[in-house]
Amino acid sequence: MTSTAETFQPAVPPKKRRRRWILWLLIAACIGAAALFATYLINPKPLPELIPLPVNVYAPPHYLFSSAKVDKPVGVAVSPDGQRIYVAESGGERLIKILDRDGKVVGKFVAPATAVGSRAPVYLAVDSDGRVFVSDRIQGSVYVFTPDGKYIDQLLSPTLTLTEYVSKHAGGIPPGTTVAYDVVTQQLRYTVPGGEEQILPPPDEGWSPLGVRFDKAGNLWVTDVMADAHSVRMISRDALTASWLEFNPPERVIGKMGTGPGEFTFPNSAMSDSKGRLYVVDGNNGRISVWDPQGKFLFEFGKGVGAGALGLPRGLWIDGNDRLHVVDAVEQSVKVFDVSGDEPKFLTSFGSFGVGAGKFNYPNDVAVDGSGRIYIADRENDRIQVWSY
Amino acid sequence: MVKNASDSADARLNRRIWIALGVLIVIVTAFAAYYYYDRYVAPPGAVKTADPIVQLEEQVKKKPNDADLRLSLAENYLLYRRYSDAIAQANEVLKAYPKKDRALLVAGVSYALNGQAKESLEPLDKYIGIHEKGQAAALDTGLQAALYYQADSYMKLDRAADAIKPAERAVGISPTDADALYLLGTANAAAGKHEHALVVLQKAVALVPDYAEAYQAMAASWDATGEPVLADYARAMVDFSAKDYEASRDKLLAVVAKKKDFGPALLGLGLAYEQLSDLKNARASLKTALKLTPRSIAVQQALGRVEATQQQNQ
Repeated sequence: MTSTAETFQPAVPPKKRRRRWILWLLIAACIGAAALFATYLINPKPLPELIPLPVNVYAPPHYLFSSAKVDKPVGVAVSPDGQRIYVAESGGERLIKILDRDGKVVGKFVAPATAVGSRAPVYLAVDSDGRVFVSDRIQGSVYVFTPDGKYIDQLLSPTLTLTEYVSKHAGGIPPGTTVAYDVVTQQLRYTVPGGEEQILPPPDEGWSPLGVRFDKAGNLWVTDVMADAHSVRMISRDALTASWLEFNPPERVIGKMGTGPGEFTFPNSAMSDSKGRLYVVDGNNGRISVWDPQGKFLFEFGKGVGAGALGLPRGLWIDGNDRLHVVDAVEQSVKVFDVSGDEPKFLTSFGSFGVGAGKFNYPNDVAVDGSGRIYIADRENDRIQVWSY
Repeated sequence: MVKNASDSADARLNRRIWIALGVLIVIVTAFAAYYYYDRYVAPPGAVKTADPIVQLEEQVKKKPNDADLRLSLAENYLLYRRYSDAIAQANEVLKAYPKKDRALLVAGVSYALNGQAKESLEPLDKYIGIHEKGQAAALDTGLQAALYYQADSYMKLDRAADAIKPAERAVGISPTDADALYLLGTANAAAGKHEHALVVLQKAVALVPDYAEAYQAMAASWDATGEPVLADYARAMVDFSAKDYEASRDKLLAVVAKKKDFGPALLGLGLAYEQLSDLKNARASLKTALKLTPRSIAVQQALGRVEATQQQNQ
């Protein structure tokens, strides 16, 4: 027989029960906060993106700092890990500079065998391997460099690389071969190691690449402003990762020159959203045109007056949340649209004319990294401005 | 014994609560500090963009006789709308260099923008005298600004007849400057030359379709020339500029009923319908406008936009 005293379990008083709950809640909050902190350390994104909320909250970006002096920057791109910022200069020596995340210059490079007057780098794009693609208005090429700025090759046309072209004429292209395009004579000059300089005529087909951007699948979208034939071209990821000696991507062209729907006048930049819809900055028509993944024109926006109206749109970037950022060179600002829905929704515009912190003086390009940092090529202020969400 | 054990358990529970609370505060504070540092603080050694005015003021203190430095400071004051300061700096330079053209322009424009129209005339006149004989006078943006503000000052001094010539010259240098066109239009209107005013003002609204002040001036000129229907059109476009599209549409319908061959009213009506998402009527109005004014780029663009939207909706 067991005594009553041995089996008696006193009831937990309500106050104590409440405190136990508080303790468990505090432990849960500690775990939650620590998990959030750890998540941020691994994947630094703004809080509204880290914490799933039932409603879409948009907090406009704020000015953070400006880079070291760069000479009339016109293009900016950021490496996939967000640690390197590439800048194309239109002034001075017309270099491509590499900045670190703090805006300090850590490297520079140029298109090989070119003088200042024979090169004009404009827009840049970085692929998932970190290779840097640079359009050059004078050379009429898209140059390809390693992440450190070592020359790999260049696209002389949408379907022809320099390696391929020279190789066909020279019967191969040994390492150390130097090639240059003379803009005055329009001749390609190449020298194999130990050999004499040879001259080649320019290829039959050329182009005039301007904007370069990669889509999520790794395809390169290039805006082509060839005289009287403005259009947008896609170069497939497969072609860009295969041999440069057998460069033969399927031809894919969107739009034609003009002012009507689905036509372009100086398209400056083209990039796709998460649904695969392509957004083309139609610079001199002051609008952005939208195309479906099959290349069918859908609609345009940005033309007109009022909030979200565009003056002279230039560089464009769509971030991972389908927020389209477009630089408006004459409005001296960056305009942001939410393109996640069926129709673009104007979110905000930031910046105004001036020379102080957060002011723009003819900005030209924009890039956004995975952590929500926005890099803007502030051309006439000779700097890259860094804003942050 | 039981009570002692219970008290001890209570104390332990309390201690754990305090420890958990402390840990939570530490984690949240650490995260908040790190987040703030990472997102809102410029990295150490980052370039600090100082206020250019502060920098220039310091430089001028060090080199008070450097005219170019003073002028840069004056131009920055002007840019940031500190007109009195800009005038003071420009006048300091003019004391030493009475013909320094940059100083004359800064002084003239700053006086004009500061509401000192009378004082602005002399420096602007001197600046114009120096620059109008230059080889690139037809493209001289400084000269264009001086002429514009000279005309503006004459208008503020009720000397409309004097304002016409500099305003015309400003428009000649920059024919797409809608503000200069508006100034020329209002100068002509104030001088009683309403026909001239209307021609110029219509050019201004062709460049800036929601230029409310220009439409108001047009309404006044049409009233003065006995064209009440056209004045109603201009007033309807004032409503359009103020984004009151329903009022604009109703007034324009009344105008079109009376003046069927007036292309601008049909364009305005088409634009109002477009804003009200009545694409069918917008297209019909714009088609008629295109027949009446086949070369109008504004009509062509609006019609293209409406038709593209219709196709997209189908």
